[in-house]
Amino acid sequence: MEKPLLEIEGLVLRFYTYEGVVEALDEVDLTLMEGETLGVVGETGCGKSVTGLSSLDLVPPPGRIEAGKVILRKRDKKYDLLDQKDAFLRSVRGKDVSMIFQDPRSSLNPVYSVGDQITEVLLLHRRVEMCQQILQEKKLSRFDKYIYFHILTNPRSIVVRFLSNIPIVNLFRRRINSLAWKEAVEILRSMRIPDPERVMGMYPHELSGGMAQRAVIAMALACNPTILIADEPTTNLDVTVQFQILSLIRELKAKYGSSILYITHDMGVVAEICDRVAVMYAGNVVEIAEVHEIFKSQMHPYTKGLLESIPRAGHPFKPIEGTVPTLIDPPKGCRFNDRCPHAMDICVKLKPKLVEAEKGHFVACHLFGRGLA
Amino acid sequence: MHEESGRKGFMASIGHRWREFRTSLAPQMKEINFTLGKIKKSPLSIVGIAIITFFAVLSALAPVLAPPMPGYDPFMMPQEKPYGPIPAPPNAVHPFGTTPFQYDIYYGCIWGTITAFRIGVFVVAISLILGVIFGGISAYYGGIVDEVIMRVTDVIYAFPGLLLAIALVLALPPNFVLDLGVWKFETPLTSLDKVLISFVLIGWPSYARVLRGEIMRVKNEDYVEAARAVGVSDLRIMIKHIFPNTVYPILIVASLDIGGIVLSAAALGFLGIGSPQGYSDWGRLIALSRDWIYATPQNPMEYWYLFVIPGLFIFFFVLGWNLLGDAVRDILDPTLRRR
Repeated sequence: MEKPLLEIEGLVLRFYTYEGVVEALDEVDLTLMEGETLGVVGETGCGKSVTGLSSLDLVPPPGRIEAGKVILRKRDKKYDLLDQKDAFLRSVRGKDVSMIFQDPRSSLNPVYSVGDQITEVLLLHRRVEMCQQILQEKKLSRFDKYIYFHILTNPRSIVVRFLSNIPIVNLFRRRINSLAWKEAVEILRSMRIPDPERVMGMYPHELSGGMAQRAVIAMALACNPTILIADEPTTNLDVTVQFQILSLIRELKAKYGSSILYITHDMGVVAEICDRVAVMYAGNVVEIAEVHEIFKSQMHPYTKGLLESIPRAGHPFKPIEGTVPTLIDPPKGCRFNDRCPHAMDICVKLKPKLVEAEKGHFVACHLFGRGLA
Repeated sequence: MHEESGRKGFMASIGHRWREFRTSLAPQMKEINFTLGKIKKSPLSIVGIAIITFFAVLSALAPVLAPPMPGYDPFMMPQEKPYGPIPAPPNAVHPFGTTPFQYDIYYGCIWGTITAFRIGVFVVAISLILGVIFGGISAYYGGIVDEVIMRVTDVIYAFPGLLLAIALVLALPPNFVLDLGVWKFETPLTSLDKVLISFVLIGWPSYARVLRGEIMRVKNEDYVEAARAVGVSDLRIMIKHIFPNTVYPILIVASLDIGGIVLSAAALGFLGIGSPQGYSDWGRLIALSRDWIYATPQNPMEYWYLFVIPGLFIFFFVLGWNLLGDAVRDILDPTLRRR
């Protein structure tokens, strides 16, 4: 449990836009432990999603990672993903770390059936395993055997790629494909999709929102990744479907033992699914704590304001004063200083560091800084 | 006995392979049936397909329907002696009559079908390929490459198409020479070749632009990001995920363009640019009888067969391709087809 799986250290991300340099992430530190669900919460535009994307080194241009490390532990070795070659990154994406996007229907390609898209992931990452499986299970002609051994030794062989395009001869490819197809059906079944064989042949626009999100989750979990980054996977779904998806994610986590980085702005979802929570504000992590501590004994004024601003029946609605600062020219010192009810002189001058105020409870605020309060 | 069983085993394995091949085709067959069902529901596309099929059969049967004179270029229309300047109305020997200087209209119309197909399909195919290549490069690399390609298309767009085509036809050299030092390629350009080349040069920018715009749109779609997030390589994303989502609009434009290109070629032919005198080309056929379109004040339509018959050929050819374009859209566009 207490082993870090993904460590984000001092990540600085800037977007070079026409209006100016957007300082989207400013020295973000996050650690995802093995087997835990870490919630990342914050308002729109506070850098939650780009944190998720940077942990796959997938930041879209004009964004640029200026500093920091994203360290992934894979088979007890540590890799800084930001230094790796493209080929290595591709082997990590989808296999070790995969991602679920916000809008399920637009994250499926409209011209391919669900089955095509899930098998694509399987074929990308598990071709070799499947060849081994076929070699063990089936009686094969000498030619086919030769081909499968060839794939085992050299998965990207040009000869195999050429032969796989000739009809009749390319039976070997079809065996791999049909094996992948069968596995994909099983994955869909484990997503609690009724009649998975039929759904495999359906196109994205024929699916309901919940169904599409299950297909997307199936794609993400196809290769049993150790880390799943879920970027607001339930935001666009209605509440009953949201509940189903959440319980599905929890169930799958128990089954496959993945760790989840769960990005959301919904505190209810956080309470439902997360073990620990990181609160982000304007490109900074302001507080990290166990989930019940966040709700009971939160420290940072922003977290307090965030929890008070949840509308509840019978209580007056209390939003946080002011608006989120533009990140092109963020406030000096603590980025929350212009909205903070406890702002002091030092808040304008010095940026607070994330310190462990209590055991396992980190906060970046001068109120809890060492001797600065 | 043993030999026989061994042989049977071999045949059985072939049979097994064949059966597996056939079952693997089942999804494709299902798609084809679905497509046919889609086409059957829209009568206009059936009409379009029928018209184009008719013209295709016509051009395939041209040597039978209008046998060329042995030893002559089949695309040159036979001339009846004496080469009198007065056109002859339809008669037993010349079913559609003859033009001034006694070219056979029937022969010209039949062999002109092949010319029309050659012009339309060749020009559209080559401009499509060029458009896909340049549009793809432009959208993929962006920046300065994109800027250069798009400014070139702007330059071509800045001129009226037909005028630019005329200028290009006149400017192209009589011989095409490609000298790479080690390898030299030389071919004479007929006037029809020049028309084709100039149409290609004018035609590709529209495809390049449409494709570029589509790629720009699709490039930022979530499913491209999602594909990247599961470890698909850039080239594969381009070919497998972006291309199929962007190619349909230009295929539809292309099928609509074939008719338009033939129409423009006919216009050039009417102006006397393009195919040589006596060549089987509908536009040229009408150009031949330019002076006879208005006959006499008493009977202005006396020589109607000179322009009505080739005109009808052009009309139906263009109409056919336009209707087929709609059919192509129904067949190809994945977002429309499943509704």
